[in-house]
Amino acid sequence: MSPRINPKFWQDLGFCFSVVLFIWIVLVIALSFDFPFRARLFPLIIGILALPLIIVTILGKIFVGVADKIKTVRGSVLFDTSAVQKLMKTAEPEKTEISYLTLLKIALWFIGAFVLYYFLGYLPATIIFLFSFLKFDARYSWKTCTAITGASALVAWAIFTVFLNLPPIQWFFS
Amino acid sequence: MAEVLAAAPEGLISTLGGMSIVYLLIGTCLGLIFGVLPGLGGVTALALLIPFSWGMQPHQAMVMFAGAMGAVPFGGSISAILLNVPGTPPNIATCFDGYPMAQKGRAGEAIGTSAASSALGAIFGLFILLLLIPLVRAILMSFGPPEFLLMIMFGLVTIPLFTGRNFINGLFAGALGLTLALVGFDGTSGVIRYNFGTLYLYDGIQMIPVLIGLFAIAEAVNLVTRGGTVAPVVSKHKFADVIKGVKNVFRYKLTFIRSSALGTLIGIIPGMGGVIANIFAWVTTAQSSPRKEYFGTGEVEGVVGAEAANNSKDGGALLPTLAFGIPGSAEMAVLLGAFILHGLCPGPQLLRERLDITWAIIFGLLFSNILVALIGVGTAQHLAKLTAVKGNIVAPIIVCASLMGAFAMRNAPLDMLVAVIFGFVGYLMVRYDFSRVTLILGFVLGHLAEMSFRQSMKISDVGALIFLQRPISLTLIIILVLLVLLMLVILPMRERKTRQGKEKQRV
Repeated sequence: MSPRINPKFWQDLGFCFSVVLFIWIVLVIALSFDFPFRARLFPLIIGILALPLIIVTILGKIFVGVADKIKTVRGSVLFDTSAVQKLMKTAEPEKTEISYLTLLKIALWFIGAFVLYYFLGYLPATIIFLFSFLKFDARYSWKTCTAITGASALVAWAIFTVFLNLPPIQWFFS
Repeated sequence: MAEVLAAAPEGLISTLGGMSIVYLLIGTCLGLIFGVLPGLGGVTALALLIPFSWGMQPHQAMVMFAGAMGAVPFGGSISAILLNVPGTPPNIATCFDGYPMAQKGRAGEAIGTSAASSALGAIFGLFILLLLIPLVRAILMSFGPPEFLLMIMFGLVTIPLFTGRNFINGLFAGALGLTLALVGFDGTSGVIRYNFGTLYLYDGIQMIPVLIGLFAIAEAVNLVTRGGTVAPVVSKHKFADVIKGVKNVFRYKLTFIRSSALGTLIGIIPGMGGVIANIFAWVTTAQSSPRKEYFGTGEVEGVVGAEAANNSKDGGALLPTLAFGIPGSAEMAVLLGAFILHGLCPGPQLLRERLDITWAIIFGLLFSNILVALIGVGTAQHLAKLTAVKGNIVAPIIVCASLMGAFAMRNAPLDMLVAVIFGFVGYLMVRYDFSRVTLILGFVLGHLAEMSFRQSMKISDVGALIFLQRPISLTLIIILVLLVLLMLVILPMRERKTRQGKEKQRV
């Protein structure tokens, strides 16, 4: 099959992810020239070896045919899997499609959790994050949210304050 | 051998003495729960446990990790048998016969068979490990910096070879791990690399937030995006059936021995891991059985084969991890991070000077497998109900535990942000076929790889040709080149020919 361009490759989350990784490798190579020879050699070699690999991956996202060519099926490497393919389909979970928006929403929740932990300390942050996530994202009843949050906060307090001596409230982690 | 055995009593005391037994129980129970819950598994359990092991003695921490590692496979088989959902990927072949057995009202027998095969399989694997340790110790004596560098490279190539569908992405993940390890102050040259002017990165990217992010938070993201529960109907079983199941292992002893040996062998090869051991053992059992036509419909021999291999592979996977610092599986990659965190250096030093730690892990795995079999058969029915818990309840709890774990290590709030960032990186890596295990291997062994590279260059009079002059390193290079050629040229060519042949037949 001759390679053809995927018309909406830039909308593919995998393409964006690969580009970010590509930028990191370019940075590794470019910045290594600022280091003395002894500190430069290893990162330079690794960067140069990694660069073609990520370029091939990006090309695989842009050109559909290339993506097919670079994929290898591990099962066939070792033994004939045709006998178990049918059974595996019944037991393997399916991959769900995910949009940028869904991932962004989850990212905002998790970064929000980090901000809460950063500014309030672990106990208030755990209570606020868990309760608000369960109530507003997962949409559970007030009773369920209170019960799960209460139990989790109690366990967190037992582990972190009693066992690890971490202060439960620590404004701004000063 | 005598030296290895002499350290056994000390290891036994380390495992059962003082608080160690409590940590073993904690690890085992947590491993069992994480095994039962599909999508979590041993790697997540270990990643979450590591920060809490900070205040422990190294042997206590290792016993706890071994407890979790030993319990996860059997936990996974409970969901595989009762729900047709493998608790962990290496339980997939257990579904093939385990679930049909449960549907026919033989769930108790299947669980009993799984418990006995798991425990005895693990013992088999650990026994082989013990036999091989003295041999590997002797081989290690002839290893220098070039060989160690090539062993690391060997791991970075073989892991994506067997664990991911996309070999190129897998190789890249290893290189990415190596580059991430380069961030921070380089003691040899006195230069700070890739810190982008921030003081936080002066010490480099911390391992624990990376591990927690890549494995625990990534699973939380996955649970939220997937949504819903995974639990269908739970089959009921009687305790008397469990005993019948235990006896099945002795009825099919040849299957048990063959599968355990296969599992151990596959475990030794870095990266091949449990999924391949589990499926390969099931296929081999099915092919060699006189009742092969009944496999997949509830044949108990299939459960014996699949579970024995699944648990014996841990003993095999420990060998490259302990001896060379090359993890045999994803759990071992995280364990490797835990070793370094507790000041232990896997490799010759560990096998020469810290045999007590090696024994603590062996005994930890041994007792954990026995414990989990006893706990598991009694509580399987109730544990399976855990899978009815929705993903959007488990996920925020994992996030809270992960963030607190990341913070607790150094009281550094930015470690939490690193964990969150790597959580999303880990999630995207799984989605787009980049191997997380290879990244961790590169990240954990990055410093050692660079040090070995520098030492090799220093002792060499012929520059990089030193790698071709030494017999072991030359052999490793030849194997590496052959593997890459096999993966990138020969196998795709064979696949293309097969596909063309099938298309011709269709025409």
